[in-house]
Amino acid sequence: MSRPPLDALLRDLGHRLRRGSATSPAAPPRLPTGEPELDQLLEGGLPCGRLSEISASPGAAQSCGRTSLALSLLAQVTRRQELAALVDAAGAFDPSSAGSRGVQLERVLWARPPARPEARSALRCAERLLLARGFALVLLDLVGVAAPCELSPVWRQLARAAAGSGSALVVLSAGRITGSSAEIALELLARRAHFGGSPALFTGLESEVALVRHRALTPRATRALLHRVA
Amino acid sequence: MRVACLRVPQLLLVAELRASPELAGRALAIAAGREARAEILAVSPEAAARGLCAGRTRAQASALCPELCVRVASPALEESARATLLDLALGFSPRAELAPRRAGLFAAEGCIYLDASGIAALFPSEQGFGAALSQRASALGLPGDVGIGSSRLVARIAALQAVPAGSSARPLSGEPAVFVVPAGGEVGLFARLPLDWLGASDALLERLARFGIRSSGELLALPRRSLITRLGPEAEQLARLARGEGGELPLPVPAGARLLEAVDLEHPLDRLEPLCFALQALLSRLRERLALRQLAVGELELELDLDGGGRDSRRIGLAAPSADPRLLLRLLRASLETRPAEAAVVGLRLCARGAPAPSDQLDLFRPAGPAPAALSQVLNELRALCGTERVGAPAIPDDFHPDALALHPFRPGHGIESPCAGPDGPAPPALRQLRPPVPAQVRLQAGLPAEISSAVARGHVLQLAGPWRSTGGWWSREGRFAYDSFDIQTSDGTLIRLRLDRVRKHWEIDAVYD
Repeated sequence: MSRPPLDALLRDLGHRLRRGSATSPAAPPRLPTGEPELDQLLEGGLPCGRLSEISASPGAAQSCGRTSLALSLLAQVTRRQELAALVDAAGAFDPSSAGSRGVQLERVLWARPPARPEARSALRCAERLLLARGFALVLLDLVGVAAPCELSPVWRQLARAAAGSGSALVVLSAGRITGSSAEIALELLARRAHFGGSPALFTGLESEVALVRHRALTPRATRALLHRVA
Repeated sequence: MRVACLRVPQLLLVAELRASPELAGRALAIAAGREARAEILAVSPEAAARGLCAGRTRAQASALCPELCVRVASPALEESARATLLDLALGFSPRAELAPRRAGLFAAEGCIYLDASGIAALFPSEQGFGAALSQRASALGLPGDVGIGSSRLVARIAALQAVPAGSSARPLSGEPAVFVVPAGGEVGLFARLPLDWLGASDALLERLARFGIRSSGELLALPRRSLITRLGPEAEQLARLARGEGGELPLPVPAGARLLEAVDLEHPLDRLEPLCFALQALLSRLRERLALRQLAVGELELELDLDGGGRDSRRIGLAAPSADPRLLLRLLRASLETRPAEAAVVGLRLCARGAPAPSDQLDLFRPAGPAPAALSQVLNELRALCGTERVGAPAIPDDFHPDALALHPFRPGHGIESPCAGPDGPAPPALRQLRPPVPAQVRLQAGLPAEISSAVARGHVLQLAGPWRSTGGWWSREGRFAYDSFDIQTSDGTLIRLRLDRVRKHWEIDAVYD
């Protein structure tokens, strides 16, 4: 276009013209975890359409509060009348624990794939659930199961499937396994177990959760305390 | 009563073409066997144009037309084609019946009768009904002619009359041929027809021929009383047929919805990929037939004829009815991968139980979940991956046994849902069940666990609560249980639920707090 017509066009459009800039993608909706301090840390909760990981801190004991956090997430989802799916490769899900934490069990699809070899069936189950679209949360429990390593392409594949479905994919693991495919990675560490009363009862567990990876933003804080003392 | 007859004159041929569409347009003949003297039962129009016709031997046919492709008549394919005719008819009418196989000149044909009464609300005329029936049949690869009349016999003869005069074989594609015999028009239709078309016995035909009676018109011209007196009640029955007074039983409503597709393989198959290719063709035909009856597959049965005479049968249950051929093929493949056939496969039979396709009324006031079809599909796939008893909605078991497990069918939005209430206060940490429990070595001190060694937790006991006793099943030797359970924190930081099995006298860890 020659200069005079361009000048005329710029003059006519006037204030409607803006300088071009890269538009930032809209932030995905969040699934609140039900832990106020953690939700504040995550700016609303775990992101939908992304892969997140909850694992134990390196060297931490098994009892660090991962499963409690996952059940709290399940309770939040089902309380909003949405559907959730649990791929329980470890076969460790306890319906009574979930029910006591407010999970509406009839809104949870529980699949218990065989754990051998190498959780392959569990990963395929998770992929199928994501492809079905419509589950707000797909929880993949791989604690105690031989899972693929951080470099495995399976995590990128699952992250892509989650992005396509809009479901939040949360991987529960013994140690970090999803690598850079995870949008958010949380590591939990048990602080203190509470036994009290007469006769003595196990009343709760205090854990510390560390935000070790957040792809989208630099968090103001990286640690939160989870109090679960009945 | 009005009856329609769809007559497929070359059923053996079109059955072969449905299974092997690549043979369309080639000179093709269907033989009774593999030997050189086997009779040719049907020929394609391309082969007929080269001078071939049914009745010759296989050797003669090959000599006449060297490029002729000869296939052996497959009972499985013929059976599938006949069943498809029935499905097609049931898509138009609830009452339908397959005609029995005929011999001789009509050995290669297939006929289906269906109730054509009361079609005025759906079709502008009987001619239009016949045309729609013929077009649907052609679309399924079963081109045929339609006759409509007051009985099965009239309808079949009308279908025979629908073939253009002078052509011995109907082209496999072309305009639908429909012949409608109006009520009362049977006498005019039969008048010039030879009596053997009415199915009279040879003895009666011979006696009538001696009188010079060869057509229906000539028979009806005879005085009724004299006919009965001289030739008996059989002649009277023949005269009634010639007048179109059949007195037939009404058409039945077929029971059940079992759809069978089968194929006899040319060569034994011992690898999974070609077997799945053959299964895909069967599933594709099944899908066509299911669509005709607005059904989905509720259950699949696969039978494999094995080389050497054996047979492998397997049943594949579906969590929810599905008509998706890709899903059904995945389920069949998973079954064959899990339990391969013991020998090469020479024949396949795939039987599907039809079930109404799932439909759900979506709720306006709830978040949208997966589409019903997608949910059915994912449930079927999960069942194939995990096992039928390992997928569903968890439930709190109505059982005192600590290891009891309950699973309900996953049907969100159906039945009574628990109220949307959270826990009354902070809930204790969640349990991770160990299924089966992990054995533990326990050192006691003052009757209580003091040190634990196991694959799950190891070390001194730091904190402890318990024991709590749970017992039950005392009336049964096998089901009896008695546990003393402890909540324990060990020195490695693990919080476990340890229990003493008082029946089997050993310690085990049945859950970990997390």
